[in-house]
Amino acid sequence: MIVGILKEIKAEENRVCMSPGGVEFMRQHGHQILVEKNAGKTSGFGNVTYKKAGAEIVDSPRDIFKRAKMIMRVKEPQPFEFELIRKGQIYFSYLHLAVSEDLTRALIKRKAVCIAYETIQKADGSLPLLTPMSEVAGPMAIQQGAKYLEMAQGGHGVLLGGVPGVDPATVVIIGGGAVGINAAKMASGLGAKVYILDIDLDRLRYLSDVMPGHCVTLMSSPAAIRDVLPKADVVVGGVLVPGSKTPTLVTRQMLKTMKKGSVLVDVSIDQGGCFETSRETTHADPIYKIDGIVHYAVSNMPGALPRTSTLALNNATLPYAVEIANKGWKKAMQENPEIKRGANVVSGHVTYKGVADTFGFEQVNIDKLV
Amino acid sequence: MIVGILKEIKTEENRVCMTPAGVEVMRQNGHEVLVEKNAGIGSGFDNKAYQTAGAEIIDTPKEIFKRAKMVMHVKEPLPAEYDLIRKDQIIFTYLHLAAAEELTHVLIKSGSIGIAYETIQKKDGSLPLLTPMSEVAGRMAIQQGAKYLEMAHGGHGVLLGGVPGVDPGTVVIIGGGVVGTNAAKMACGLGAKVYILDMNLERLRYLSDVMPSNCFLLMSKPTTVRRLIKEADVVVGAVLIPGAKAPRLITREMLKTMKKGAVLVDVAIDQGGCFETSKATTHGEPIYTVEGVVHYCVANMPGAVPKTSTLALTNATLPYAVEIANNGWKKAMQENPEIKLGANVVRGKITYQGVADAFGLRYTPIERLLKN
Repeated sequence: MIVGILKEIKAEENRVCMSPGGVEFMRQHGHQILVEKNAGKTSGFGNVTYKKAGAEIVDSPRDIFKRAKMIMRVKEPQPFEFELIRKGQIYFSYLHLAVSEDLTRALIKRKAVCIAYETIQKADGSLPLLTPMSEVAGPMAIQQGAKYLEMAQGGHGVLLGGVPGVDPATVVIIGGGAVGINAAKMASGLGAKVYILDIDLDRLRYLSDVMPGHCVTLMSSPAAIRDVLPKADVVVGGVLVPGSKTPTLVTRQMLKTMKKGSVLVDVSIDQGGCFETSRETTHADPIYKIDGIVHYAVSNMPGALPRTSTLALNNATLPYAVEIANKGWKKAMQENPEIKRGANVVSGHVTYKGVADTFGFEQVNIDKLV
Repeated sequence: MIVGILKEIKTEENRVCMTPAGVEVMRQNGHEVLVEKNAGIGSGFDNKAYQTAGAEIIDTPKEIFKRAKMVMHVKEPLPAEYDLIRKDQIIFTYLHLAAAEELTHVLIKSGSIGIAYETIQKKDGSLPLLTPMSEVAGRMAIQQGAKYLEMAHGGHGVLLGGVPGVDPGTVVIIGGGVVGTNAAKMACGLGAKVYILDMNLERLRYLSDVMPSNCFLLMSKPTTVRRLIKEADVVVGAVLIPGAKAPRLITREMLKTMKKGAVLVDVAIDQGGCFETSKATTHGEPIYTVEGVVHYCVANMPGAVPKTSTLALTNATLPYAVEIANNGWKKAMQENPEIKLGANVVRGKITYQGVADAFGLRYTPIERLLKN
C-alpha cells in the first residue's frame, strides 16, 4: 500500500505521525511511503533521515493526497484540504469529529474511510492512542505547576520540593488515570506532598500500592475536593469521561478558598475543562488569573514537546498503521475490533455513535460496511 | 537589643530576612523587634502576623535605622540607605563587598559593624548561610531546564522523564556541591538520565552512595565535559570556587557540538558564570539563545520562590541573629568563630582579607578589634 505522511499545519503542532523508524518498519512490510518535505523537522527528523529509511520525499500535500491509499497525520484535515481527500482513501489521525460538524460533513461527502486515533479502543475500555499523550501531559502538568508557582510568573513563590527544613508544596491531582498517575509520579519525584483523588476505589488501591508514601490517595467527592483545595499549591485536573464533556469539579466559589498565587493546570481542557473558570489558552500565551489563582489551560500540551510526543505516539500508532496497510481497512476491521472502533466516517456514512448523536446524523453500523 | 527588619527594595527581591516565627524567638530572648511595614508581604507574611508575634510595625526605614542597634536585610544596603547607617550599628545581611567598592567605602566611613551572611563559615569550610539558597537554586535549575526544553520556549521538545517506550532526557550537572546534589535529586526524581561531574573523588564516592541508580558520577575533566554535552538535553553549571570567579567550563566552540534546542542553566552566574556565553538575565526575561542552545542565567534564582527561600534562609540565619543580639557583636565573635568570619567591615576597618585585597585597601585582622 502507498502510505502518505503529511506535515502538520495547525499552529503549535510540531509532532509528526511517523518517525523514520516507523518508515523502515513499513518498508519491511512491503509498503511504499511518501513523506511530505520537512514533515519531521520539528521533531528532530530531517528529510535525509526519512530517505535513508526508504521514504520518498514529496513536495506538496496535493501529490500525497493524489497518490497515497492511506493518509496519516497527527491532526485532522484543514478546510482547504477537504477537496483533496479521495473516495475510498483511508485517513488515519486524531479526528475529534464530535466537536467539528464542518469536518464531519466534509468527510461524509468525500466518501473516505476515516479512522480516528482517539476512538480506537481495547477490550478493557482503554484508549491506546490517547494513553501516550496523557503520559506526556501528566508530567508536563507538574512542570507547569512548578514554573508558574514562581513569583515572577504570577505564583506565590513556593518551590515544589521544598528544601531541608522547609515544607514542600502540596499538589492535588483530580483523576487517577493516565494523566493523574504520571503527574503524581513527577510530583512525588520532586518531593512534593501529593494527593490523588479518584472515584474508582480499585484504582485508588492500585495507586496506593505503586506510589511512594508521600502520595496520598483519596476517594473523590465534592466534599473531599473542598477539603483539600485550601491546602493546595498546584491542582491538576486530569479527569476524562470518554466521549463526553468533562464534569466541572472545581467551581468559581471554591477558588475563593484557595491560596492566592496557587496554580491550576487543566489537562482536561480539550474536553471542556474540569474547572469552572477554565478557558483554552495556547503555548504562546499560556496563563491567566482569576481570583488570584493562576490558570494554565493550554490545549494540546504535548505539542510543546514534539520529540518525546512524536516517539510516544508513533510507538502506539505504528502497529495499527501496519495492520491497516497490510490487510486493507476492511479486513483489518474484521479481524481487529480495536481498529473497528476507530471507524468514524466510512464511505459516506457516520459509523461512530457519539459523532452521529452529536449532530443528529444517522448512524450506520460499521459491521454492515465491512 | 532593638533589632530592625527592613523591607527589601531591590527589584525581583521578595524575600524577607525574618519571619514572624523568628520575631517570636527574638522576643523570647528579650529583644525588641521593629519590622518595616509590608516587609513580609512578598513572602506571605502580613503586618498583622508580625504584630501578633510581638513586633512593632514601622513606617519608614529611616526610623528603623535610627532606633535599631542591629539592622537586618536580605540584600546589601542600597544608596538610598547609605546616610542612614549609624556608628556602631550592626548591619547583618548579604553584603558581597568584594563586588561593591562604593558600599565598602560607605561602611568604612559609617563606623558600623558589617557582618556578611556569605562569609560566615563553619570549621569544615562550609558556608551555612549560602547553603540554603544553593539548595533552592539547585532544585529550581531542573524546573527551568524542563520548562525551557518545551518547543514554545525555544527548546527542542523533550520531556525530561520520557514516557514508557521513549528515552528520557539527559541532564549533565557540572559540580557536585550543594547546588549540584539538589539539582540531581530533582532530575533523578523526574526520571531523567543524570550525570554529575566533580573533581573531588571523595565527594563522588559519597554521591554514589546516596543517589539513585539513574545518577551517574563522573570525574570532571575537559574531555568528559566535551563528550557529555553532546548527549545533554539540559546542562546545569553548578561550580563554586569560594571567593573566586567561576571557571569557564563550556566554551562557545563547545556549544556548537551540542544539540540545537538543549538548555544550559548557569547557577554560577552570580560568580560570573561557568559557560563562556553566559550573561546574567532576570526573572522578567530569563532566557536567550546562542548557537541554538537556550541559556537560562537568572541571577538570584531563589528570589522567584520567596516563600520557600525566606523560610530556608531564616532557618539558617536566625540562630546567628539571636546569638549576636544576645551577646552583642563583640562577645558573639569572641565566642563563636563562625560569626567572627562574618565580620567584613568593623568600626572603619576592613576585617575580611578578600575584600581588602579586592580594592587594595588595608586589612585589619578582626582579633585586634575584639580586645576589650
